[in-house]
Amino acid sequence: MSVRPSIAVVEDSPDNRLLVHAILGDRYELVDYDNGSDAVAGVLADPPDLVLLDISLPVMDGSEVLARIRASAGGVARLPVIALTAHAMTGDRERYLAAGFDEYVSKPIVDEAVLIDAIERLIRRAT
Amino acid sequence: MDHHPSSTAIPQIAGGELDLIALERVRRFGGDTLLRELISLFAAHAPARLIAAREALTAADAVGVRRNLHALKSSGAQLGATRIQRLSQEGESSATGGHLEALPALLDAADTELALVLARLRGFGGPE
Repeated sequence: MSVRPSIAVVEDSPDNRLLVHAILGDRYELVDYDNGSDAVAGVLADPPDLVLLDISLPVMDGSEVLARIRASAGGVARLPVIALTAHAMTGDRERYLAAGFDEYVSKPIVDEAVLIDAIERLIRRAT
Repeated sequence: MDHHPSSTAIPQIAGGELDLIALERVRRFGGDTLLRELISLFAAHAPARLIAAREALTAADAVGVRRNLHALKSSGAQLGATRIQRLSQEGESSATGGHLEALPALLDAADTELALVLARLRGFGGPE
């Protein structure tokens, strides 16, 4: 029996978490975090195959979560991280990629294939 | 035959903008069940987001205003509440720039629009 890749879903809005589960729940093992601080602790303790990370989070925002992951020791620092965010101003995508995110998917999710393709590509690249 | 306008004609309601394509998209993702659940969550949380934004405005907390309107924008957009999305974006931008003076009127408009949107969403399986 093949093991499904695991994804940490870091998202404080329950409706967005529900939507991500509807789109991805059949393909991946999903672990939810509703704030940045718990996400950092959880990801470092039990690294997933990929992190899906909202930017606007309580306690610690997504950019800080990413920085903590990238600053950690060992392979965890190189975890694939996708910014999933409703920040859609001009230049946001370039800014997030320059900050160390591996990919950026904007909300609302319009085409699930875009998200799934990004996840699959990044997981393949990391293995 | 008379062709007088019906006295019981339903007036066009301004506002309550919903992009029906967005709702169909949600159905594609997870069927009627997902649509009903997302509408229920939106109905439960969106009014609280506006209240929290208003309280943050009273406290001159631009960060709090921005955070709550950002969340409302995101949730509204997924359900095709396009005017809610636009108003929230406008409010978020104003708060980011420290321009709080226009926000009371904007939040009033968002309150009105949200009530209309929630009324329309009841027709798609939202809570009564």
